Amino acid sequence: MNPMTQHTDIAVSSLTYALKGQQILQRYGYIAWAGRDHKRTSGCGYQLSVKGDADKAREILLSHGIKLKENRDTGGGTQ
Amino acid sequence: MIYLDNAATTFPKPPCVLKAVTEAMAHYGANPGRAGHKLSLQTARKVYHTRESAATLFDCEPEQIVFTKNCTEAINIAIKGIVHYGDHVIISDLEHNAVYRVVESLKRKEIIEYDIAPTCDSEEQTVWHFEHLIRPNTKLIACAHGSNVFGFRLPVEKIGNMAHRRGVLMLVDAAQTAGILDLSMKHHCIDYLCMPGHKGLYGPAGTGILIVDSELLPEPLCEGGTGSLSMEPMMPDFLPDRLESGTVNTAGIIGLGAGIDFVLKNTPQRLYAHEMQLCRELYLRLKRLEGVQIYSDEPKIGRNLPVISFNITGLSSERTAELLDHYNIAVRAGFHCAALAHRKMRTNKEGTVRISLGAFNTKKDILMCEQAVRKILEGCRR
Repeated sequence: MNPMTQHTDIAVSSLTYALKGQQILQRYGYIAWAGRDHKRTSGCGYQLSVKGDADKAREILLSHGIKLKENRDTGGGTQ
Repeated sequence: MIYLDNAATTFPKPPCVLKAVTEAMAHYGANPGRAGHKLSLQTARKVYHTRESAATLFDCEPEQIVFTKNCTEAINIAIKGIVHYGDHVIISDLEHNAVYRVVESLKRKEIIEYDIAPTCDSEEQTVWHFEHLIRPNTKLIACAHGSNVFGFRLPVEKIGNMAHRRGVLMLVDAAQTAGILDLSMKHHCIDYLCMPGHKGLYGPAGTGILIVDSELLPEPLCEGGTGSLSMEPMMPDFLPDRLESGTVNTAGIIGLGAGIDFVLKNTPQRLYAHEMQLCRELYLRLKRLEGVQIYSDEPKIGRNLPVISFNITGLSSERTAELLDHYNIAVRAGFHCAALAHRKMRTNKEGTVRISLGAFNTKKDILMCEQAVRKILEGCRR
């Protein structure tokens, strides 16, 4: 699977962090969008869906103080 | 109506604020940060835009912006959320009751002790007074950036530097200065910055902001739903969720965003210069009138706020304001919720009449106000 076309959901602590993270990643050239984390079972939450290198995206987010939760790969481009 | 009561709340609001609030009510009616549907996310983006604009204006990160219902609530959250049994707090002798009553209440419950630092013309001496009052258990200095009654500006940057050097937290009440004076969370030693949204930021009433720039997050005054970590029994330990439980004032916050954008576009420096120019002109005109006693200093950029406190000899402040209202001049009389400031200036018997300028005042307003005061004086002499 091409990591550049795969999209990854990165769970974040809050919607504020999701919206902030979306803007940060877009500044770095990522296609990213904030939305509800429908798969989370441990309480309500939000996530960032990111196309491209997810590990690098996580690194960027952490370096900007975005608080992440556990994350999951969703595979090839489904939303 | 000539509105000269902008220190209470600014009026009129910029057209962009009216438009934003109307749009919010019409198109962004979902609960932001609670659901995943499109309308909720669109509404949340609008609310987040206000956080971003506020973060730009005050030089901080968007998540440090906590929305409150006014400045008083922001101050209550910060002070009551930080201090514990046995702590000591220092406030200034120009504080609004939003600070004074909070610490007095905590003192009466025997939770804290507090001292009042005298302020004076010399900034260095004012800082010295604060430093002189620091004890080993001093946790917090809470200080207004400017007097809401007399327009004196306090050297919060210098007080903050001293406080941090001495290991004391710094809270600034920017009720009268947010939107006109420079406030940078990155450059100034401020841990908790409290402000209304509806004054110098031109948002709707019912909005306020607390900015937290400290590792020490206040304990929440109000607990409840945040739309995050919902299965946890305790409030989240991150901002803004920790201090923003319950549904926020969506339309108000979206309107506040438009107000802050108005300030950013016009710049605080230009807004301040405009208001100070009018204030100085009115001050000089009133100063010439026999029978007018002014308590504020001659307005100087950097030293004062666009506020004039005065009385007319032989009239109570309330009567003067009533007569001005007959001439369609809106001002505020009395004690302005600032017992300490009136005691300091010895105006605690009659209070004062306060004139406060805003972005939409003009020279014509100043001339009309002077004319009204002249007519009142003529009436007194008859």
